[in-house]
Amino acid sequence: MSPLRPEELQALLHAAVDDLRPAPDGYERIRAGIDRRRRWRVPAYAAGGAVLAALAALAFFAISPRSHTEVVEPASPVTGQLGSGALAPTASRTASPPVIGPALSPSLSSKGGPTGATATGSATPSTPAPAGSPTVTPTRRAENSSPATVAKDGDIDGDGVVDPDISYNGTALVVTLSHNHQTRAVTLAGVVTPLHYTVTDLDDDGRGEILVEVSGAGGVTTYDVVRLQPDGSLRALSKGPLPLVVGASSSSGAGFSCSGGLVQVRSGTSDDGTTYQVTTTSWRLSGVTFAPVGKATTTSYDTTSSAADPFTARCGTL
Amino acid sequence: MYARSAAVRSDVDRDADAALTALYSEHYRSLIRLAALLLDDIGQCEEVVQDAYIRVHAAWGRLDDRDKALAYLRQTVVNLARSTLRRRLVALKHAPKPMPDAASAEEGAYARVERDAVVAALRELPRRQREAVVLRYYADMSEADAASVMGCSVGSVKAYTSRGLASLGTKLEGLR
Repeated sequence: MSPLRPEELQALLHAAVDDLRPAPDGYERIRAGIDRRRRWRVPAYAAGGAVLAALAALAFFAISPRSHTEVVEPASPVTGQLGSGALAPTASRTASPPVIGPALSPSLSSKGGPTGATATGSATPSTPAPAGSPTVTPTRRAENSSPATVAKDGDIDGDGVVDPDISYNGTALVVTLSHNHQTRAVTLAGVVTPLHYTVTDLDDDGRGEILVEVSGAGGVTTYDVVRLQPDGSLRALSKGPLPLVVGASSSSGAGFSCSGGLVQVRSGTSDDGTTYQVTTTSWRLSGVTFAPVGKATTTSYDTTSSAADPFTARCGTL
Repeated sequence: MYARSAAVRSDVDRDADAALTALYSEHYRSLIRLAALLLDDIGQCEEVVQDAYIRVHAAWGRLDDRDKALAYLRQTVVNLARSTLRRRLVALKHAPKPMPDAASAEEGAYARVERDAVVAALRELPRRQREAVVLRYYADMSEADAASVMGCSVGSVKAYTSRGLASLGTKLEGLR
């Protein structure tokens, strides 16, 4: 058997297929295929671009920080004004959440009654806002809900809006709440008129307490505390260190301050009218009563020194 | 910028259309025959060759050397023929078992084609040997060109061709 020579195989291969006749419409089919490919190219590219854009958007939302999950509502407008000064700027009332972003903390201090009251605002960031955190409008809370954040000064009902409309009708302290525009009143005797008060969150429960000056004696100033109850009523507190006393004489002195959810009450005695032994007791407001926290501390205060006077009220705007 | 790129694209399209027409006139029939030696269904041969023309036309603007358009076409035909055979093999593997007295699916497929002893002998060769023999002795390509189309070394082409030639010599003994 002789091996198959290349030229032999060439001839056999050509003979096997040379009589094949392709279909006559081959060219038309190719042209149709090219047109079909062109028609699909643009939509295919567009679809690919859309898919890429969707993936990019998904990736963006997947990695973007989420700053809050609670439902927020727009703040109700504040209608009241005290004195000639306007209240805190609108932006602060509508754009500053209690804790998420820097909050403007207006504190109310009224010495000349409603007509002479002034409203001051100080930018007091409570917690630095994360970069890119959205603006959050104040949350309107139900009266029986439990706010979880510290109320800013001036905010009685914890809705993030200053409650400016506070007055005294001779027998009762009357407050109009900003979150529902309803009026609440509590009977309170001996309130000094014109009103002198501040609203600050003593217990960090998200609602501000009202510290209102009541009649004092012997050159001292006293303050009662009124708080908004979960049921929406106002209640004057009475136990514990209340009333809070501020003032000094040559033999004794008293003062208080509040910070960190505690009220520090100071009382001092002096033999010479210059050096006082000052005892400081911390109180925590829980419900409607104050309870002492920790041990009392005693320090010495010399009136001739430059140390801060312990016999003052440093709470809210007092 | 957009108008300029559109004009350039339009030139490429016109160029591709003209080249397509020329390549079709000169080589379509020979490419069909080349495919017929690699495949067994003349309808599929036409589809493979037409698809190769469409692909080369679409890639015309990206071709490095347009003088080698025929080489690109041949390579595309070989690649598409391989894909077709591979798909058919998978289909055969998953086809239901034939009845004992019925013709097999493979036989049924082969029955559709016009066959002669040479084509039948070619189809019995392993794919690589078949491609090497067809490219070398039907398409008249050099060993280097055949190696380029097959994606293997020149030495491999030599080996495949030698084995294929020996095998075909045995099978076609009666025709000589």
